[in-house]
Amino acid sequence: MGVFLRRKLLRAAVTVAMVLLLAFAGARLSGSPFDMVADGGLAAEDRAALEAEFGLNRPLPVQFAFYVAQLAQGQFGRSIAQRRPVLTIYAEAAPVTLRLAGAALLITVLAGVPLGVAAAVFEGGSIGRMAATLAMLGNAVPHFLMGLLLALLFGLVLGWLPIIGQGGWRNFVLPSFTLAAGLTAAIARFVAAELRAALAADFIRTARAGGIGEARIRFVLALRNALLPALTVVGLHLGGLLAGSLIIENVFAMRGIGQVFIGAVQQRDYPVLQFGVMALALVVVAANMVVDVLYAWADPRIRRAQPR
Amino acid sequence: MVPTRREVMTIAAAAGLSGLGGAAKAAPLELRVGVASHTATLDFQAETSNATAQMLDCLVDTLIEVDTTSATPRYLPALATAWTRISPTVTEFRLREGVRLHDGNIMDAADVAFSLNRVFRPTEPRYRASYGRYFYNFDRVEIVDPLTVRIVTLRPDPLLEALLSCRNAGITSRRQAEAIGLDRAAQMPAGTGPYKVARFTPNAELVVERFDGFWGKPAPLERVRFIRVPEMATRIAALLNQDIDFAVSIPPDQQKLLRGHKSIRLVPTTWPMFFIYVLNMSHKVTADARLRRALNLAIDRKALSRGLWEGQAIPAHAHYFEGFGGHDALHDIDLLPFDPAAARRLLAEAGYRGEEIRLSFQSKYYTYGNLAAQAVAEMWQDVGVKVKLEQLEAFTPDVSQYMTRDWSNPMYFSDMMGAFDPHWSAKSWVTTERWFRPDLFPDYAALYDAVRYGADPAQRLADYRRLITYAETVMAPWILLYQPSEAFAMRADIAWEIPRNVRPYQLPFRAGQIRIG
Repeated sequence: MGVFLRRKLLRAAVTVAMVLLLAFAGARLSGSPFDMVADGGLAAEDRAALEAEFGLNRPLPVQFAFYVAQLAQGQFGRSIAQRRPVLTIYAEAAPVTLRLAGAALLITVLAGVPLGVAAAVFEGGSIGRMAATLAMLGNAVPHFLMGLLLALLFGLVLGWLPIIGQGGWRNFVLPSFTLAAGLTAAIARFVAAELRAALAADFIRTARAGGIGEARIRFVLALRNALLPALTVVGLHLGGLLAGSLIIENVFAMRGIGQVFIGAVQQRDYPVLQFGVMALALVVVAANMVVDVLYAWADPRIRRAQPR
Repeated sequence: MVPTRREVMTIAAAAGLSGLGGAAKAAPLELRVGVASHTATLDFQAETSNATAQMLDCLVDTLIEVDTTSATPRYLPALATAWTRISPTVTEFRLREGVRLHDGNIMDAADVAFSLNRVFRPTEPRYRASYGRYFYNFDRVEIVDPLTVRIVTLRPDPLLEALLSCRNAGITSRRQAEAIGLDRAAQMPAGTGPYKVARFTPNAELVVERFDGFWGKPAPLERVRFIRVPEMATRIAALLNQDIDFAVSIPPDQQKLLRGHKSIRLVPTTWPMFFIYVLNMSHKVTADARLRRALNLAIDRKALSRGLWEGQAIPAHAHYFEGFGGHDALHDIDLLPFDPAAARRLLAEAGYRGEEIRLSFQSKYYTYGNLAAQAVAEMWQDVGVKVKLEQLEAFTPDVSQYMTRDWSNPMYFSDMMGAFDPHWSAKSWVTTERWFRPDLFPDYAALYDAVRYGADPAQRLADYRRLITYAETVMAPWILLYQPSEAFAMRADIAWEIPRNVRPYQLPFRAGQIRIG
């Protein structure tokens, strides 16, 4: 297990380092942050003065080495646009995104699993078809469109919920459901497929032959076998959930990490952008690692299958 | 096919859905403003964008104010109670006594000198944009006594009042900046305006609240929240749902959706601002003035207004604005007729042999900018120009490679030169990057000088007529398309009008400028 863990950690470190390098280079390929100052750009000498203030006049390798050295000391840089620490900016925005993603995750599990079970257990019937259709819709409709449709229906038509803001739990309902839609559909489809496979497995036939009731077979024996892989999918989609919040926060005008990130892209705010990409990569890598480790812990065959 | 966001809104409105619901209203005397874009800092002197201009008026005062209701500019005492020109280049200002800053200090001459000297002689790079746009002819502020300052200009400046009434000449607390540094002060600036910052989340939300120590009439609202709602469909839906009370930047095609709602009031405006293309006079393909003039004459501006703006945009006739009193006497000038035959003739005279002209523009920066570029490209092709559309996320620093770029020329201050000078002066990027080449036209400098520094208003107006005629017909450095139109939408019980004599997008919510209920 120790070798397995070390190998995973090394891979994770390499992945994060590569993402950091790509974020660093990608941000700079899009141009200078000072192209965005004033609507017509700046005179060359003014741009040069601003670039010097933020060290952007140095060669790229020097800039990167300096940035990495700063990171090593726990210095995450200062926003070029806002002129305040990057960490402060993300710390202010994180609670909104975490609440949003957390609520979406809860919805995903609470809605996705029953939907998948319904699609598998009632396959061919009207309930099964409805569940499958809902799952397909959740997958197919883009986030921004889903958000607007929900806002129109539950905001304007029914008047039940606010459309923008983040003042209370009601503000989180529409964005959370919008964000959860895609992943819920994916989980539902996955659970349905796994459950169908489990229901056709030998041990279920044996259980039936042994006289165990159909309800217990479906909702305990088969479902238990179908759920473990489904939880893996949830872990793997955590990054997608955070990425989806970029769009959702924009549609519902929420002040989370998504808005920070989009603002940083628009303003080419390199330090904010780099930290955001790195943090997202860390979350995804960490989630994947946790899933891998849990799996290896649960199934010794995976540990042993790792090349030495 | 997946419907677009606009179509979704249209469907909803057509079905009559949007008037049915409604969440809780805002607390009395709180105004929630949905803005399309927000700001990263609130530094009065450093921030020059339209996005910041929306909010600064609540927070900041200047030595001189411009009357926002008069047809032509009228300058009023503000933080200065009186001012006198004691020599052609020196003006003495008597400061208002007992004006309290938002940090609790009393404003004095040191605050004025601190605020203005940093844009008159910028040592900090962040203040260079303001300097280049407004203050390049200002030399320094001298303190005479705690309530008297003298402002010295390099040359006698007829625009002194106009420039000093801009928000970028706002007065802020020297002691606050020295105590906490420029960066922190830019997040929570201490001005003297009727509202002070209560909470600021950069790029997302600004909450200002009534400042009880304000020197003038108290603010009519207890609190104003400027909330970034970037999606137009969401902005409209949030207004109808009463999540916000006031929404900016509603283009004509969206105004139709709101007109039928009794609970909503629309205040449309056609801005003193041109949507333009700058032509690179240093690029070999666009170096010939006849070719540039031909590109201008090939464009049917009325068709653009009809097709994109439902006829509400005003086609350009020369570099003057309809709706701005200072340009009323110029309305007989029409130098931009749609004349394809003349365009073809000029192209032939210029020896144009089918070289590709790249029409470069930013993909999302200007409303309908991408549609306008496509239409203009078609019109150019109709007179025999080979065009390549180049849609960019943003322009790269090396601008010499481009032949054209989209831009806007808003009127930043209330003067006949209010749009011309900030964009086309020797300090503007177009000149320093050599897109605009006045050096190639010997007559230009004298014409420009006469308008920029002329003292007699009537003579200045006559000279401005000559300047814009010369620029349009002889130099052709630009393609002026139209003055865009949009609307503010608000709750029907809000009485608010577009301010006059200030730059577009400024949102004044002071005493006498807004009433709710």
